[in-house]
This record gives sequence, structure tokens and C-alpha cells, in this order.
Amino acid sequence: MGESTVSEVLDKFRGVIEKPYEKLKQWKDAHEVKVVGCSPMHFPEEMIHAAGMLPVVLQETEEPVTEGFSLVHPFFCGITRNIIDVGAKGGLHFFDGLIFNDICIQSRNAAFTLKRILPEAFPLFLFQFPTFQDRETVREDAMRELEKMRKNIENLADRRIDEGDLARSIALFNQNRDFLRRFHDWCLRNPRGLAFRDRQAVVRASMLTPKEEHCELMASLLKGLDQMNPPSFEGKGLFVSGHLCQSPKTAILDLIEGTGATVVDDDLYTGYRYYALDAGTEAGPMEAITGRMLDRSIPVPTRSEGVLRWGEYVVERAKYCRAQGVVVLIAKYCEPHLFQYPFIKSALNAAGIPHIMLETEPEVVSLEGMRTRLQAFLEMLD
Amino acid sequence: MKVAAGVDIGSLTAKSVILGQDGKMAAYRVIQGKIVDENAAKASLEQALEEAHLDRKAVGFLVTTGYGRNMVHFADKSITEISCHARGAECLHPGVHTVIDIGGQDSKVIALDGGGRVVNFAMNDKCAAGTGRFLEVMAGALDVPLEEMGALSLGSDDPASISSICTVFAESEVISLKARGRSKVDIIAGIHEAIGRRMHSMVNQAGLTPPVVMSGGVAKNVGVVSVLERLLATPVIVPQEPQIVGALGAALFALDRIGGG
Repeated sequence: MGESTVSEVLDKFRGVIEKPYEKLKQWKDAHEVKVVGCSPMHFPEEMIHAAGMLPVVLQETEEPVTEGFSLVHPFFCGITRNIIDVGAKGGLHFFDGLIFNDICIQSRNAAFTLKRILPEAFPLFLFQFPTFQDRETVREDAMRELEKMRKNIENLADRRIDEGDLARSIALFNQNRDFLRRFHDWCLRNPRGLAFRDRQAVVRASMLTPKEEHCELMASLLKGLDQMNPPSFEGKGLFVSGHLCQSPKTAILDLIEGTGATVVDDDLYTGYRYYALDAGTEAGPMEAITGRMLDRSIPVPTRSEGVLRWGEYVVERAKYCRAQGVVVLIAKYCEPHLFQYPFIKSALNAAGIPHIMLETEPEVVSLEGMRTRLQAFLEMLD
Repeated sequence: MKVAAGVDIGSLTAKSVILGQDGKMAAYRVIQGKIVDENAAKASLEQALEEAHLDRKAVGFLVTTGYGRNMVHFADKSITEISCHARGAECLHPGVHTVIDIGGQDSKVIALDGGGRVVNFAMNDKCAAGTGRFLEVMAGALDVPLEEMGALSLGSDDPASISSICTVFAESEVISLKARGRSKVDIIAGIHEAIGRRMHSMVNQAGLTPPVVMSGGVAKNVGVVSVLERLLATPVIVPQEPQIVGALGAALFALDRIGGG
């Protein structure tokens, strides 16, 4: 019974992430609720929800970039190319608004490009959260930017967001994150329980589904998982780190586990990073959201100054989950990650943890080469 | 008595090595092919067995390696060419620390710890520039037999400057150099310099510790070997039959399974 429930829920999640924009448009038509897209990473979706709209995190689709190709610079990463391409093909027109995070040059330019090619389609905002978090004024700077965005969102929704609305939305999102953490803990205890691609689907579906619905489905999923008897874990466990903003392509997720290793844990944005931290509810809701964004327990390379200790964090996580090795997945052209990689490498070397770096292309190429490198890495662990 | 077999299915050749249970090489075979597939692997293995006066039933364990390792359905196990080239090179030259392998369409540098264990490696992952296929295309563009390229290049005092980034663009450069009257010898020397530079940066990625062994078909090209020795400032050891190093490594892994050695 557990397995059939799990299978049913996973099918729903897989359906949501396949052709996400088409599905969202259908959802919007059926529910007549405004939909606001947020670029990764970590825009406080609670604010959009509190205004009675559906927040979604923009996802990379599997379609090759064609029309948008002439609009992107060579150094644009996969997700920014893809968003621009989908926009150029008219796939984003149903959105009532888009919010881009000013986290890197690619994200900023994606916003400017869309604004230029789709000037009438929808309001588009660039959210500028302070990057330099060691400054004394960071909390007030952050609150000020968040208040600006709150007003933009209120204008989009044509209604005020009161403190009660925001507090309720925060509670709902915290609940969803709690469900996802419990799911994460189940996967940690049962690494062979679900394929890595399905674990990604669970998280990505949360980014694309009303949180109320996702929470309900997560409750069923967790119940079903508790009734399952997954195979015991043998063999090599890997910690997968990196891939900010975008989910690794399914072909790569499958390739990693297709070599015979098991992904035991991760710090991907479409994984642990998305749900690791809650908004604390002790202070007021805006303080809670600000606090969550300023929390650096999970190193965030897009909101930092200088060296981050991300390497030390990966070492701790890899040791905790008893991974035999670490796979560092870097999306090509991702500057925040590339800047940190030498320090991550040093930390893993110093800790004596075997690791391999795989750079993923905007469109999947040379899987065979990647397979050989991964297999050779696993053979080194023998 | 059972034997151990290793088959290396590359993009241009299929190589087989047969080892007796005492670890001695009973036979080996290298076959060229336009299409390298399971049939080529089978043919290579059968020819090697024939040379050793054995039949298929004598094979106690078969390990495949190389680009086509997973297409051989009659293999007992497949192991990557990184591990197999390391193992094979260590067998032929105990204490080797760096293995440079340039095959038909891939190139790699493998760092070993001196005890035969792989500690790091670097591979070409974006294109086949600087590999055997690159040399084939250049030989075709120059109308020079591939096997003569190495010796010819040693006669150059002024190698031409050629891109090491893309086989197709490099071919255009070669044609353009020919049209401008550059000698074939200088162009070939330039091609080898391009390969050497490419491998030099890969060696820097994996780490260089002598002694260095070179394997793969391109190791037979004395021009490339000479450039590498100069750029790395260390001798490059080329085994008598560099093309079978991977298959030898695979056979050694197979030998482990039949309790031989």
C-alpha cells in the first residue's frame, strides 16, 4: 500500500515538473489566480503568497535554446538562456509578474533582456538584496529592499499585504519546508529508497505548486514512505554539491546513479538548500523573512563577500552522511560557484575526502565522457 | 587451466591481451576497423586466442575497457580505461607516476601514487582535438601517411603555429598554411606542438611526477613524444607496444578474479 501511494504522489510531482510553464498556464486558467515567477535563489515567496497570488520559482525546461539564442551573451548559464528563450517564444506571457534576483551578472542581464523584448507582457522587478553581509547596516538595508518589493507585490496584487497575511504565509511555507526536511531525513536513512531524480522532482514540484497542495501531497508521501521496505544500502555513497539555481538535467542525475553509486545527500538549490532554513516566528513577519535571508548557516555564494567556508560545510555534510566521495556539479558560467570552487577543492583535499568536479553544459553534451570520468572516480574509491 | 583476457575497444582499434594464470602474456592482438563494435572486440579476442592456441572456453574472466566497453555483452566486467591504463603501465614500468594516453578520440593523463593506485586524472571532455583522429585528419589534409608524420616532423627547425582547440578549424589552418607555401615538415611539426601544448595543460591539471609512461597509438609518433619530452622536461617512456597498455590492464584485473599472478 505504501508503494502505491508513493508511486501516485511521485507521478503527480513528475507531471508538474514536465513542461512546467504549460501546466502553470492551465492551472492559472482553471483557478483565476495571479501567478508570479521568481528567479532563483531564495526570493521570499511568502510575500507573494500573502498577497493572494501563486509564487513559482522559474525552472529550466528541457527544450533546446533556439529563438532566444541571439539574445544571450556567450557567458550566460543554462537557466538564464532558457528563461530568455522561453520568453522569446511566448512561453512566459501568462505570468502576471516576474521578480529577478540580482545575484549575478547573468540573472541581472536576463531581467534586462526580458524587459527589453517583452516590455508590455508583465511587470518585471529586479530585487536587490545586499550582497555584502558583513556590514553593520545589512539588516536595515535588507529590510528596506524587502519593503520596496512588498509594495511592488501589493501593486501587482492590487491589495495590501497585512502582517496577519504574511505571518500565515510564513507558517505555511515553514510547514512545507518541515515536510521536505522530514522527506530529506527519510532519504538519508534510506539512500536506496528513491532515485535521485525523484527526490529532485519532490522539491521542484514544491517550487511550482501551491504550497497548500504540496503539503497535502507531502503528508501522503511521507505516510507511504513509512510503510515501504526499501532495499538496504550497500556500495558507494556520494554527496552531490553545487548546481546553484537550476536542477541538474535528469540525464545527469540518472548518470550519477547509473554508475552504481548512490546519492546519499546533497546541497543543491533544488535539494536541501531550498528547505533547510525556516523563517523564525519570534519577531514580526518582515523581520522573520529578513532573518531567513541573512542566515548564513548554509553558505550562499550569491550573497557573500570573499571566502565563504562552503568547502568546510561540504566536508561536514559529507562526513555526516558518511559519503565515500563528493561530486561537485558546477553549471557552466556560474561565476558565484566558480569563484568558490578552488576553496571547496582545498577543503576537501585537506579533509582527505575524494572528490570530482563535473561541469555541466547549458545543453547536455558528452554524457559518455562524463560517465567514464565518474566511473573512474568510483574505481579510485575501491 | 584458465586464462585472463582483457579487451580494449577504442574508437579506431580493438585490442586484446591474453594472460596465463602465471601472469605471463600468452598473446595479444590489435585490429583496426572503420566501425569498432562488439564484432570487432570479438574478432580481436578470437584472433588473440587463436595465436595462443586456445579457444573461448579457456577464458576464465574477461574484462573490457575503452570507449566501447559497455557494448560487449559477453564481458564479465567493464572497467574504465583510466584504471586499466594505470594498471597496465604500472605492470610494464613499476613505479610509474604519470601515464599519458592519447588514443583515437580521447586523451588522458593519469597520476599514480607509485604503487599503481590512481590518485588523480584529467581527460579531454569537450572535443577530440589533439587525439589520434586529429592526426588522421591532418595527415589526410597533408596527403602524408600517418605513420610517417612523426619522423618527418623531426626535420623541422621552424614549426608552424597551429590551433590546438578544434580539429576542424586546425584542418582549415593546415590547408591555408599549405597554400601559403609552408613546408609540410614545418606544418607537421606545428601539429605536434599543438598536441604537445594541449597535453601539457592536461598534465598540469592532473599533476606531473616522473617517471612518465605514454600509451595509446599516438605514442608511436616519435614527433609527439619528442615535443612532450621537451615541454615536460622529462623523459617519456614508450612501451614496446603502447596500444595494448589498456587491454593489458584489463587482463590484469581479470587475472585478479581467477586468482592468478
